[in-house]
Amino acid sequence: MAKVIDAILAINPDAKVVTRGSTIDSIEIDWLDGTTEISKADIETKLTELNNNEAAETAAKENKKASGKQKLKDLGLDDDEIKALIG
Amino acid sequence: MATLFVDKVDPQSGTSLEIGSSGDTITIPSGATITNSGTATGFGGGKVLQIVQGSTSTETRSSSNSLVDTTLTASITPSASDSKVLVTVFQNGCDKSAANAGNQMILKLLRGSSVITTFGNNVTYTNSAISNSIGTTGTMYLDSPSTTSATTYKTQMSNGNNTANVGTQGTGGELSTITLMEISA
Repeated sequence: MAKVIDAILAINPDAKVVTRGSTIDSIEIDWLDGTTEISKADIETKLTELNNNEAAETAAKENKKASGKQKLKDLGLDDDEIKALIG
Repeated sequence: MATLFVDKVDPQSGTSLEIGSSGDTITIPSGATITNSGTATGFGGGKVLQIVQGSTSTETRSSSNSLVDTTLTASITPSASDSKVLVTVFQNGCDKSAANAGNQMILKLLRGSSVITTFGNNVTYTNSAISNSIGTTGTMYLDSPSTTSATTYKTQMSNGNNTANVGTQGTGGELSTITLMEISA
């Protein structure tokens, strides 16, 4: 799961920030070295986007795994043989 | 055995007063109290006079190579200026993000605003762009603050490579602790 600082750095990769706390509602953010402040709304939007992307990537990986297994089964391999091949 | 009743014993000359001779035993009987308001030496120091502990589980992350507070801090007021303070730190939940091969955490122990030791260098370093969580790092440091004023100890961290980010006390509720023990001289 993406962290608030990941969302900030996704918006501004050069941002110099310190975050204290874990949730967007209670987190304390120090903007260092002249880094332009990003609004909590924008951070929250990016955080949701990162978490959605992460969930989508995980789902896509699972789908590919299932699809690959099915193709091997279609070729005639049984479950033990597939497990021996891909774990 | 004669009993001498006086309220004060002072040296006849000079400033030194000796009680008894070599081989004698001076006894403070049960129920009596001996109080020291001055400086006591030669009593075999090294006793723990007081213990203070601070802790935090606030996740703290930084993308800067400037030192920033980790929120781990504790204060002690030494009872004597020649006391030592044994500082024990367990900095829990240390990690780095995956965005850069060079990022790493640097951890320092401070008395007030002065760094007294760097207890973590290259912490979490992997030389590859992967995330890395190492759990706990820490230090035991014997300090001589030479004061009887309230003295604050804390830890600070920085991102050694000024890229990506590093953190301590992660989202799992990891608890970091700092324990201060005043040790008599």
